[in-house]
Amino acid sequence: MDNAQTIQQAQQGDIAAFNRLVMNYQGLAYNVAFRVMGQPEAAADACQDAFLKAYKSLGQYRGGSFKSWLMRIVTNTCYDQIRYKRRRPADSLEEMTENPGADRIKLTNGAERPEERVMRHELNDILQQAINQLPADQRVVLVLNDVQGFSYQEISEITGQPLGTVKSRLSRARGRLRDFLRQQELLPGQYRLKDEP
Amino acid sequence: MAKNNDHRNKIAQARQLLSPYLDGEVTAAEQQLVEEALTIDPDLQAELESLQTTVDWLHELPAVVPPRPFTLSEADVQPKRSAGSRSWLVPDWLKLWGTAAAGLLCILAVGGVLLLQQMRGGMLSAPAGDVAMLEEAAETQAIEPEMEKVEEMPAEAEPLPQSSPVTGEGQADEVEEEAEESIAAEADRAEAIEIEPEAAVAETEAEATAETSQSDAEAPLAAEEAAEPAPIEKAAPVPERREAEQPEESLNLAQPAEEIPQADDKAGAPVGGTRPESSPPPPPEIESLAAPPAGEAPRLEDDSATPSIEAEEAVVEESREAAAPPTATATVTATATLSPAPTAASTEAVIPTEVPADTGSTRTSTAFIVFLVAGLVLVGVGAGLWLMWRKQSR
Repeated sequence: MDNAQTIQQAQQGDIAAFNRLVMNYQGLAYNVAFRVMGQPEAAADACQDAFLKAYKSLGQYRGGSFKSWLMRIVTNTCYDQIRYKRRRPADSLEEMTENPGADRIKLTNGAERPEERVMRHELNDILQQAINQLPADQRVVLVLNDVQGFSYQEISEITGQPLGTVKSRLSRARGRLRDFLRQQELLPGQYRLKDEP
Repeated sequence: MAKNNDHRNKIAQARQLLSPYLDGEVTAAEQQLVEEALTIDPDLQAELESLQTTVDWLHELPAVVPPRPFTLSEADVQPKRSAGSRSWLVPDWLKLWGTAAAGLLCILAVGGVLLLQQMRGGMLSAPAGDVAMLEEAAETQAIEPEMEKVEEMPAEAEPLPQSSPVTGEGQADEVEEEAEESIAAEADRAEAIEIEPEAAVAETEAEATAETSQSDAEAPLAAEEAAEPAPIEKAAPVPERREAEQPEESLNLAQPAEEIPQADDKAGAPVGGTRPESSPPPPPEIESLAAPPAGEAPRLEDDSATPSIEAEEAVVEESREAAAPPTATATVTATATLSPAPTAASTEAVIPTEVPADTGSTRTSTAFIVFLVAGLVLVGVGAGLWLMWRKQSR
């Protein structure tokens, strides 16, 4: 059964068909939400809300890339959650300190040694911290492009921004991330020596 | 120099294009620009490498496993009722009518309070306006005829009525106080007449002289009056003064019969409390109460004067009853009566008493319409809010 037929059935109110779509896209949706939100529980809540909104908004889907349409709902839900948490910073304090979702990160290379695994784990944490300190609009573009591999055009469709805006946001996000990593002395020495007197 | 500037501009432009250059999202011209700048500036090359490293690390970020499936159930897609609130127990029609009723209650409460305030303000402000208008009218119309009369009057003219200086003052409060005082004084005076009529006449004479001396313009006239030998004629201001302080029924009671033709003959117009020709004659019983003419003066000293004095007491009682409520209307009437203006003037003085009343009712009806419109707007706003709330709850 292809995606279009499943979407059509879901639009007619078939929850089972919609749940098949959920199973297809929930990994992608959760990863985007996790990188954008920076916290697993918040990402899970955002994902749940986003799928519920998607089900209720299925009538507004007029064709095109279902993945981009769904990612637009996910990113908008993340924006809403970020704004909500910004108004209530105390709510996310526990999640920030505990970070329980870190154990669920898959190890991509099972052949690496333990010390390399620890170093990668630390690098991932620092990268996530660097992403978290970005503005939300730059964060979304960076995650969609550099983490999830969406093209500029897809990001433009998802965010509803012009292509030039996507390019500039991504450029600024990468520049900030690089500066953050320089401050953490994670970049190779030849890059750091240029700034030193 | 120009070449250096060109290089700087080229490097600055290339720095902005490094990120899309890494992704291959640049045009051919942009790609050429970046590559030329990279050959010129080694720092730009280092920046490109640092960016590439950063992007590589981001690409290597591991995927995360969702903590739970996000599939939906039938319960998830049912319209949610807000947990904790029992608003769903209340039927919709009750919410609608409750909102409307609450809005109407608010309107009625606010409108009622404001209407009451408006009515109170109208009741208080209208007589005040009357008094002011009457004072102005009396002032202007009292001074002119008097001045004309003073000019026209021969030296042996009859004295002007004693109430004119008071009216010229135009002080409503003083008039009111004097009305109360004079009523009490009249009662005492009526008793005193039985015992010592001569003393009462002397007292009245002193009063008249004191009042006359209040106005400088009246001073010569007062002196002439003081020179008059007849005690009854000097006593004439007493009933006149009472007349001035009494309500409408007793307006024409106490004027001496002789003064009316005198005033008409000499001044051509009635002055200060004198009854105009056009006004109806007093009733028989009231005529008997009026001050006696000069020829009948000895009657005061006789025992035969007793019934007349008793009747005068009755009039004093009536005047007390009429003057008892210290309302502004009584004040206005007293002021109008004290005015020495002719009949036309007193008619004009009565007309303004109705004008503020109409203005007050107009204000009230206008306020009512305003409150009605405001109420309708409030109901509309309430209904809109209720609809929004209903839409949100779904």
